[in-house]
Amino acid sequence: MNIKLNTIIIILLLVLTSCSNELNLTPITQKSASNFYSSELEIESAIFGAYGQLQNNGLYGLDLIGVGEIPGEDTFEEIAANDGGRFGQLDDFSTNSVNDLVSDIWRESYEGIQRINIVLNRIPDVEYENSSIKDNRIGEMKFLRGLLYFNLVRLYGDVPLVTQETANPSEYFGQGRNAISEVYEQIELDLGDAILNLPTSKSSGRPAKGAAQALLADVQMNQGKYSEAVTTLTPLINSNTYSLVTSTSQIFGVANEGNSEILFEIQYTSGVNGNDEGESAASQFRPSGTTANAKGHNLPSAEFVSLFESGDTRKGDYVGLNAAANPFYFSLKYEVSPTGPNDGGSDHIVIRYADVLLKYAEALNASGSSNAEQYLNLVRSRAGLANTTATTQPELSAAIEMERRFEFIGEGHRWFDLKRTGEAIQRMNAWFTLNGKNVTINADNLVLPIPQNQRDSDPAISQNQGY
Amino acid sequence: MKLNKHPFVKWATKLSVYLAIILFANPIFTNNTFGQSLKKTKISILKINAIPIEILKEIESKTDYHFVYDQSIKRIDSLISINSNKISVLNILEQLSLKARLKFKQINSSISVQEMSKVIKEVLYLKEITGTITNEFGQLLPGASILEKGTSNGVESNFDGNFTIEVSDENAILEVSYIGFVTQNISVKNKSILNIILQEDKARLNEVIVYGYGTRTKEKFNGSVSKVDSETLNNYSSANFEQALAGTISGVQVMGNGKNPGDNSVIQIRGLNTLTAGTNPLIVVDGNPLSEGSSLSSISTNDIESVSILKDAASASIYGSRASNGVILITTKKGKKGALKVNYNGFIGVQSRIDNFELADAYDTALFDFDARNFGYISGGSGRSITDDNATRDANGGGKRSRIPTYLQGYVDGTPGLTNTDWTDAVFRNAVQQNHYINISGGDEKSNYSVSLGYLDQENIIIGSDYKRYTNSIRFNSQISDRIKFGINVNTNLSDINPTGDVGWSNTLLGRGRQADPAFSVTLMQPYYPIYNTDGSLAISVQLDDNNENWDNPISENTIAQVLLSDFTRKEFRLFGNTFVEFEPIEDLTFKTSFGGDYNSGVQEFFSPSTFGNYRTTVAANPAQGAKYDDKRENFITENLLNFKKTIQLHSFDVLLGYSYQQEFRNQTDLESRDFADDNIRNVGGATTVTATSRSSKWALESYFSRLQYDFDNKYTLSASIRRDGSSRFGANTKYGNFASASAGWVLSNESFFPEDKLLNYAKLRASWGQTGNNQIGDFGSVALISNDNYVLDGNLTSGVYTSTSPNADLSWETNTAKNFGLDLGFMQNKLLFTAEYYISNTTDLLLDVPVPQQSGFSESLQNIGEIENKGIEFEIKGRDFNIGELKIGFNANISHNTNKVLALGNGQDQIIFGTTGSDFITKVGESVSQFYNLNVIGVYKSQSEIDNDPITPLPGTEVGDFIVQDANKDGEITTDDRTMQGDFNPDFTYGFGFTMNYKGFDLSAQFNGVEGRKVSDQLISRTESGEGFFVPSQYYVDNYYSDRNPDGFFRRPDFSSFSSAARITRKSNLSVLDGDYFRLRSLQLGYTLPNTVTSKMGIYNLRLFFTGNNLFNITNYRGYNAEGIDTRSNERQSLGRGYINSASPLTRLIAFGIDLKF
Repeated sequence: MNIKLNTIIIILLLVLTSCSNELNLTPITQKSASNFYSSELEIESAIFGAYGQLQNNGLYGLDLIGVGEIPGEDTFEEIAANDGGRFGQLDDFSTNSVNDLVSDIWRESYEGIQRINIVLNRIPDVEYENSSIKDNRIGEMKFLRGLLYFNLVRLYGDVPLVTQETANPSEYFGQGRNAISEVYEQIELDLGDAILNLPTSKSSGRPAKGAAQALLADVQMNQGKYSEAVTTLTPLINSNTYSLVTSTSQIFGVANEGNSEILFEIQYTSGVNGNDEGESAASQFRPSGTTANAKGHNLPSAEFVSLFESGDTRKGDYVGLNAAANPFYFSLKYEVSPTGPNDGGSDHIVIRYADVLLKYAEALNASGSSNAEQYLNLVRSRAGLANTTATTQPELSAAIEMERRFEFIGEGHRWFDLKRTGEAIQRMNAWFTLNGKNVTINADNLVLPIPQNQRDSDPAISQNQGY
Repeated sequence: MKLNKHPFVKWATKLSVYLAIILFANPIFTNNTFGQSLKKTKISILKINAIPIEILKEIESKTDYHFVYDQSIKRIDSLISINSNKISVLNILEQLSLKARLKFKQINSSISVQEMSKVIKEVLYLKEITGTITNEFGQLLPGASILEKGTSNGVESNFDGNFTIEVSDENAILEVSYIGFVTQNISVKNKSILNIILQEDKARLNEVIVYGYGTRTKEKFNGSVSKVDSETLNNYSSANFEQALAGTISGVQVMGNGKNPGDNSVIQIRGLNTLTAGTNPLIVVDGNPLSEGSSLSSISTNDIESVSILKDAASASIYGSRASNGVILITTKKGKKGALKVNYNGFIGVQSRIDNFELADAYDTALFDFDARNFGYISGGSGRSITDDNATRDANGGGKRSRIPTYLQGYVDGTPGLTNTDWTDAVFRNAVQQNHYINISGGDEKSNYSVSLGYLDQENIIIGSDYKRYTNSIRFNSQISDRIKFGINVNTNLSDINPTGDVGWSNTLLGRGRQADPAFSVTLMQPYYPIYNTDGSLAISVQLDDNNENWDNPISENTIAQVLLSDFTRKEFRLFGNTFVEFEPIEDLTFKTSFGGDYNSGVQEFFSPSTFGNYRTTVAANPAQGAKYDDKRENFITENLLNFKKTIQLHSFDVLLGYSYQQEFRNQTDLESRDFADDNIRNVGGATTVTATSRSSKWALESYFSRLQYDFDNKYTLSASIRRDGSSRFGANTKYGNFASASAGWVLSNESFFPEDKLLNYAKLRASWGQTGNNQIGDFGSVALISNDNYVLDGNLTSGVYTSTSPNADLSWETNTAKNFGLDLGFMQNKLLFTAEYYISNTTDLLLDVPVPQQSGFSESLQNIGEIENKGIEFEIKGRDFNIGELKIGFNANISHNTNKVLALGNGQDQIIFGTTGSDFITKVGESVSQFYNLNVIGVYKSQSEIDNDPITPLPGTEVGDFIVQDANKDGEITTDDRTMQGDFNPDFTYGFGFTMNYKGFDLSAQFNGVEGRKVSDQLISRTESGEGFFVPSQYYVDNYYSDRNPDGFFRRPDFSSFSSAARITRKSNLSVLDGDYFRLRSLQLGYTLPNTVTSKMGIYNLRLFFTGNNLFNITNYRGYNAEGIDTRSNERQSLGRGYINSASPLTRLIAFGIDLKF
């Protein structure tokens, strides 16, 4: 009996074997942030993560294009109620704080800013094989942060300013919103650093010095600093790094990606990574029933299309119509994907040279310089049109504005242009009256409401006036 | 491995210290002959020259004591005289001891009497009695005890239930007892053969309560445990045993959306104790804690002997950091000593839907479409008229949603014979359910065995979905020597499922849980379109084509076609069980070591061919898609228990020491593709390219625990326990936590002062305090995790990453501290038992996904912050043996009330608002958890002047036909600040009651249950009552919306294209908060047991035929499928929106016929 008992006790001892070390487990299929971001490879991945964020529908995949254009008079919503009215409300300025688009842009912008902040916080301690690449990356991140804050400040007015890696999210309770001027100060600081750190020549998908200069000029012009914008843009124009492609048919489309006109683009490709790298505008910005998941968002109005001068190649190259399926026009700047809806392969061009030229013309004209029209004419002649007949400063100003409408239809610029030039309220109210719509806007409508869910979690974030 | 860190060494060290205390520090108990009560019990006695037996009988007649002695005592003829008015029993016994050389030994109220230094003298036996002992169903009971009353003469029945006893007295009384049965006294006068039928003792005080790592009788248990036996469980027929619990126990709610047979339910014990951590209770089967949230349908209800639910924290505390949602202990059926027994139980029946949801038919839907399109058109711009034709409407920019479909007019005019498809009718069916179960069991003196096989085949009431389950269990226990025994339990389960979908309607996204749910899709199926073409083929994309070309309304594919043409399967295999060895190194001390495992594997496959379309996507543009989801979980546990039990006179001790280590590894692999060359190979294997993702995770839990129980004289019971848990889930700084408990009980009725009362015979007061934890936060919640977000550069995929969660090194369990007070009363010889309980529990350090300022880059952050309180009262009554002649009646009733209150949230945080598509919820300090929080609609604006003259500024953009909203904050203006609290899902009270009746061979049992004061919001309802188009309206909405035809309507005017910003904001209002109360006949069973005389000729012990019904009626005002249809897929993180029903399946009624056979 004793022998048996002893045997059993020995067996039990074996059964009892275990390790307290098992309590210190680390994630198996996910990495932990505490020991990450410490090598060049890891920082490079984090940078791709920041670019990846910009692809989202709340940013350049869909919403930023719509929000920059639908409030203006050139595009409209086929069905205001579609998708809970997220775009439809922009069209008649009834946007409220529970609109999904309002909260998506806000949230995804700050998520992107945090990804950038992490890189900028960690990169100084990481050794790069080639230190100039490291400088370039710092420049890229500051460019992206400037871009995201520029969008935020234009869309929401005062916004919270965060430039640090978040250690504890609760620390931001009660922070409130920073004044527009403070945010612009930070944006100019970031873009100034970007200009210093970025290379002159562009590599695909990444901004170079020119993109930062163009963006900084835009930022300056939005603050009315036209002569500073001229100073910023002049070296870019003179560098001849970028040029207009010869035909308006060669700018967009998957086949034309990476052309000489592009300063900065968000890249998309259909059919890769489980169809997760495509954009949504191609399907959703088409009239309902004309392609899978067509939502009729952001359609160019017939009234606008009728404004094209005869001979303008852009009318055929930029705007399409499939009258048999649906009587509404749509933008041709995004190609419908062969792999299904929301997987469009067209890059979204954030800054292209035509924009730089027209902004330069606008800044020159506004700051009293007389040679604005030559830059305007570069864009016109590429579209197959004769030089402008405008001569006086107001005439030129109107001509540049008109040119921008034709050139950038469907790219998400019109509403920002109206805001930058200070014409938004007067122009839209006149348009509503003309079209018999019972809508009147005032200064409150120039910004979106602050998302309700953000205010529900932190009441220290105040609401914009009028919402 | 370093020896000094070995947990066994730590454990052994602790153990030896405990042992030393127990074994050596308490010598006082060894030599104390009589208890205090013998000294205190005083009687008056007058006996002169009496023999001892006369004096003992005198004491018996005047006190509760009775004496046990053999015949020899009767013949002791020493003469003793005692004459006293007030003499203690102890004093009398001392005199007897002295004068008659008698020795006494007391056990409770029995006192055994022996002669001192005595050789037992021979006894003259007078009579031999033989007999058989059976239960009420004629089943033989081996091992029953038969005792000649008043003597130590006793025997046990053998394997065949037979016994032979020689009695010493012609008029002897036999006392027949068996655990779990009512003890009987039978006179042998004039009898030599006895056939004794014992009645099962179900709700009595000696009922054995299974609790954590032990069993006790109800009388000695101080916590709050509800036990449900197999008979009650089998009254409700379901793949999941927990469904049978609904309404039978106070304080326990069993809910769920019931989408698939076999899906888990939401089990909520005593309120919501957490806000964002998981709400799964811990399920322990035969001592084996199963994987968190694992499928409960793996356990066949037929295999369950009993279910114990530990409701109070003191009882659950021994399970530490996993117990704050309560613990459910399942004991499976074991073999019993005796010959081989075979039991077959089976039923077959039909299920059907029982709900009030009704969509409008084509004619009513046409009226609605007509209104919605016209109103949307004319309110969308100036210069528009209802009489405009479609061309004019197009020219005015009305768009497709302003056009009037050409087919509509016929319906509006009431032309008979137009297509009027009842999609709901096509999706639901009467579904067959059958269940077969066979069990073989038996045993001898030393071992017992039980083997069972089960088969369940249950069609879903939703077409295309069914569930087949094969279960097998094997149990074997053996006493291999005097001191060693071992046991094995193995449960195998194989399920073959065709599930129904999860999401409302089909879309092109692939993913787990993204398959379309036809029960919800019917709301998008326009009744103007047919299911089948005239040639009998499925009508594919007929709606979609018409939609895209003309109307922009029928946006979804024929749901019947989708179900019939796509493949969706799930195969599950599960093996769980444990083995144990128990040995007794010295008397009263047992050591038990066990090893258990739970292996789960599930493979889910989905294939949708290119032969039908999808959301807004016609068949031509919809590629085939396929997916395979592989899921494996390996869980094992090792436990070592040391148990010391000792009864020394009136004192009994039960000391437990334990060590437990459990770990689980989980791996999930997803394969998905939308890239198929053709439809020939109907699985992901046929794809050209496949996206694969693999996820693995692991957790480990190491625990030490101890419990001490002390009981004195059946009057006072004390218990205390402590558990120390270390969990891998928590932050580096907070790996270990302690959970303690203490409880006390006092049986008043065992006190001498307790009045002898025919009515009230039992009373007990209980109180307990304990701590438990909740660790259900996912495996790596304390670590900031890196996730992937890739980017493409020139068409090449790059690997991008980002920090997806915020870190928290201090993350720990939330702690629940609860007090419980209970009162048990027994009336009429315990025929009626009454229990009342009051509890109050506080959960602190809530694991809370705190919504944080989004400028941090995160929307929420998991933190230990805040506090909630739950308190409530519960009453239970159980009665049995209320007999009228041969009619035996039993009954039960329970009612529970729970309230909760948020005491604190995050730092500086006063409320959390959680939004769903149908309703907002607010969880606010000082209020109950998850209250519906919406605007209060008080009417409809019927003219522009009403809007213009309203002293309250309405919502911006308010139009005629929009809602009038109450200015709740009285600031003269309607904004989102006017949202008000509109009740919550937590009912005011829940109740259940039932009865059982037996008359001759017939038995009838019924169980009713209900809830009162519950509110719910249901996407099915809010969509079909929105008036926005796309969704076919419910009949209720059509009957009640405001229009020229119905000026008294209270719903907003329908608008399909241009509805106002105000209308959008009022999508969430009090109108989408519904009354979820119900009262239903949960189960009814009528059975007939054939007489023994008939069945015994067939060689059958017992044959019972029965009719059974679930949910035979359901009384409710609720308009949806099921007011309890909250999401069961993930019990985690849904407390903040508790009461929002995303998509449910109708409540089902089952009518079945069955047979129960034992031989």
